Amino acid sequence: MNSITAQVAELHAKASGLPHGPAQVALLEEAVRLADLSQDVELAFDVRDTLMQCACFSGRPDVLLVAFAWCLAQYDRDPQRFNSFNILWKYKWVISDGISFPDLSRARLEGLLADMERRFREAGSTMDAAWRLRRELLMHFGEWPQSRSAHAEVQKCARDWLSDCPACVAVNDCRYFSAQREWTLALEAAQPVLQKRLSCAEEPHRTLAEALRPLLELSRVEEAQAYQRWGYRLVRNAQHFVREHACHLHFLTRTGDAAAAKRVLERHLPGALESVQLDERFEFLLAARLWAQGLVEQGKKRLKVRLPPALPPADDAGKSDMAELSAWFAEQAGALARRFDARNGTTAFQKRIDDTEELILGVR
Amino acid sequence: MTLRFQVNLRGIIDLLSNHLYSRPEVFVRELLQNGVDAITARQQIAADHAGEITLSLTSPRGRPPTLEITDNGVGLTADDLHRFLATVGESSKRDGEGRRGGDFLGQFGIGLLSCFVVSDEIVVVTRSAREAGPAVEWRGRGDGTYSIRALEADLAPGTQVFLNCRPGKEELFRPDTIRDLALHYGVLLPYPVRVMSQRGSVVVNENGAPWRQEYRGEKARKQELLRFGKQTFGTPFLDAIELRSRAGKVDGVAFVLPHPANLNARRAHRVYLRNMLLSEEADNLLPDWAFFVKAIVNVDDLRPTASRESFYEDERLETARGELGDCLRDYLLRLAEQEPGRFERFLSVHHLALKALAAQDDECYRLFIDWLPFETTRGRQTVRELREAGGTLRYVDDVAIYHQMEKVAAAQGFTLINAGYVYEAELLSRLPEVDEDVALERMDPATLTQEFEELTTDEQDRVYHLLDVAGEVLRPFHCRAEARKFEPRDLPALFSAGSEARFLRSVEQSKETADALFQGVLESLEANRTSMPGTELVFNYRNTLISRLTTVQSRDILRRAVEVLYVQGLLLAQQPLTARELSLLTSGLTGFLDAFLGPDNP
Repeated sequence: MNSITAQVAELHAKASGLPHGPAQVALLEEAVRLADLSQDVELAFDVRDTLMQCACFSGRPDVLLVAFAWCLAQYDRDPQRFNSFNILWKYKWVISDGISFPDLSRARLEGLLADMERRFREAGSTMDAAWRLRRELLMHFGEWPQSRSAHAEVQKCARDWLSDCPACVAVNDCRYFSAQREWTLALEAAQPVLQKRLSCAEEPHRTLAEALRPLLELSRVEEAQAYQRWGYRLVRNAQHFVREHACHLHFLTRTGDAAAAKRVLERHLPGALESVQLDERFEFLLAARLWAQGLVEQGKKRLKVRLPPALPPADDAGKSDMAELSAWFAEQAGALARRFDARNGTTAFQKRIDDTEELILGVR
Repeated sequence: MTLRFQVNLRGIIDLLSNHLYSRPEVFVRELLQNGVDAITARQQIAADHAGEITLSLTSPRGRPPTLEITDNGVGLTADDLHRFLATVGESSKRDGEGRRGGDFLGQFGIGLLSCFVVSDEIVVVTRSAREAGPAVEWRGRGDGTYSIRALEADLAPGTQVFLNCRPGKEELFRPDTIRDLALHYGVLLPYPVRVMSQRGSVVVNENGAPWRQEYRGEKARKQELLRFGKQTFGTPFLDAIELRSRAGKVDGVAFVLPHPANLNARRAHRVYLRNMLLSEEADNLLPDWAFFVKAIVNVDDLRPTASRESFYEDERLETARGELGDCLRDYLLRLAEQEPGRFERFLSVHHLALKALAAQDDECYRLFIDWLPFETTRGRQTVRELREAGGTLRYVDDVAIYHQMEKVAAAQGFTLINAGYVYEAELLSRLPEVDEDVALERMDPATLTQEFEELTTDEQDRVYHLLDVAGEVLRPFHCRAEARKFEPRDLPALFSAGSEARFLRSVEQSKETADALFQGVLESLEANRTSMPGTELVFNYRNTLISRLTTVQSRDILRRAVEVLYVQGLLLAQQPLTARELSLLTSGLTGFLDAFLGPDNP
């Protein structure tokens, strides 16, 4: 083993001992650079494969996309040399992560999906996974009739080797129904994970967060609180579960658990603002808006809150003006909504803002 | 007319044995549990009744071995026996408490059912302590048929179960296997569990839970706990920490792992529920940061989930977890204060665990921060050593940057701290909370090179021309040129790139190979990042080559030299070259050849 290969292996080993997160990604990025220096394409491919995996679970879709583009190009040059399953499987991540970049145009996003579908078809897939992604994309655009047709197609496809794991299918179905306010169906979809019959790398973490809203809307608060306690422990120490942190904040705010809601906000706002997954950041900002405005409505106008420096500064007593914070969250969410809606050519994000404002009015 | 399915019990058992009873040896657990339940029930009638369970193995020559399990519990009546298999289906779920309380009979039946996995016929001889009456014998077969008869013998209350080894299951009917399994499941039971075979008779749990015993002194106690840990898990642990929590009524021991724990490993602890083994993979009883221990505990009053691998997240569990965490924390504190030598040894293995703890717990942060070691350009140093050395604590929060800069920083003689691993940057950045006077600076490559010695005005004049040409050459590569004085002297130029810049380099690199579709995608990614990435080529004014270059007037020669220096800088910084950068090297060298030999010379 030459020295570069040894160094790559060492970085690899170090990274595998770390939890997903920036440190792990940094080590693997370094391993990729070294592997590239060695001119050993297969080594460079393998290290990128690990990097993609970690980037995906560390909230770094940008890193994933860059590594994937390189791997796909190598694969296309010499398909016999590399494992096609790895490429096809991760292509799914590329699409669902690509959604979170508003600078990636809709045409390009659809181009990616078409390219992936072509490759899946050529590989003999039943297209189950491909239809699920199309449904996700349409759901993101807020194009419901089309999304429901995609959902119907999903029902016709048998699962195959490219299908998402059953636990991930469950959480995605739960989201799909929740987004249409089909709370009972959403909860039903989540059940196999909630009952611990299914689990995977990120389950039940996500489902436990995702099920809170349906349970809340169905007035099954006590049950939800148990899931909230369980689920929050699973995502508390991982910065990249931004959407899940938002779900917990939303839930705690609406169930009036003020102290816990504030802790969740303080702990996860910095991560949400740093996240490159702007759609998830958007979700967090909405929940933060709901939280701050709720306090304003209750007459709690000034409050001590630990906030990252990007936010409006506190007064001399260390207290923040809640109305000002609330406005800041709304403004940030609005800016993101405009970027996404412009990209998508729809008004789905503005609609989400309107829904939140309606909830606030409901509280009032 | 309603008809009933005719279900073949044998078929069902075979089916279930692949699923319900994940391992065939669970029949020992089920039988022990039946005994425990029966004894518990009898103690409800007679509080001071002393329980006892015996497993007796006979291996007659030329015939299959048999196992007989005897308890002196509450026993069953003939009526009970008629009913118990009939009610199996109704109570196939444990009551969530993991306790088989709800329907004693049905649970007894389920326990018995698991025995069909290893035995074709089961014989139960029992006499009830509740009702006067003769002892009865129940004889059940795998096809679902059974017979019952009254016995004349005057037996003491209790139950005996006889199993005949099925062909192929002989491994499970060996004295060692039975003893190990009885020990495994029943080691904590507060009354004797005896195993008898041709090898003699032994009470497997003679000492009960070792942490509930009295010892001559602390040392003897610890020795015995460690011996128990080694026997139970096969690991020579570093230390044993006693665990106790009023909430949930938990008691047990946490063993300190002798090797660094993998942060990604599942936290799997061995948990007994009311002294019977519940799970070897319980994962949420201890706090998250407690990944440096492997625990064995008994829980009397927490609710396990149906999967038996976790407990329900409720307030009682949260309180229990807090109390158990306190046990571990107090241990660490005592160690740090009273046994610094041992604490050092602990740290050398588990500093990551302590970092996790400090990051998640404010009080522990204050208590332990000074002890935590960091990798620095002066070797491994604790925060206390770093603080006592005085001056600004300079750290980078990116491992790659640290590796890029450590040699140069060391050559300048200043201390750079690597805070690129999990929790580290967070821990350092909170230092002012405990020490107002501490000066702290987060470095990136650009701020780091700012630390190098500045040029005098004269020297700046001299280097002006070189920097002017360099700026022009490097602009297309989004790289700035600078000049400073630094060590080592023989290093002509230093290339430095922050994490953002490194990311953009990787985008460029992928763009060079990607197809049109992905080139477009990658361009969209770049669009998101407007700020100028901080890559820099810093010339070393102390280097002889650089000082010679300051005297060169020809822009062409300087251009070639900068091109080569840039590529050299990239390579020294272990940056893979893009095709465009690689061609720089070629053009730079060609230029020199031309200058030496004249442009037309081959």
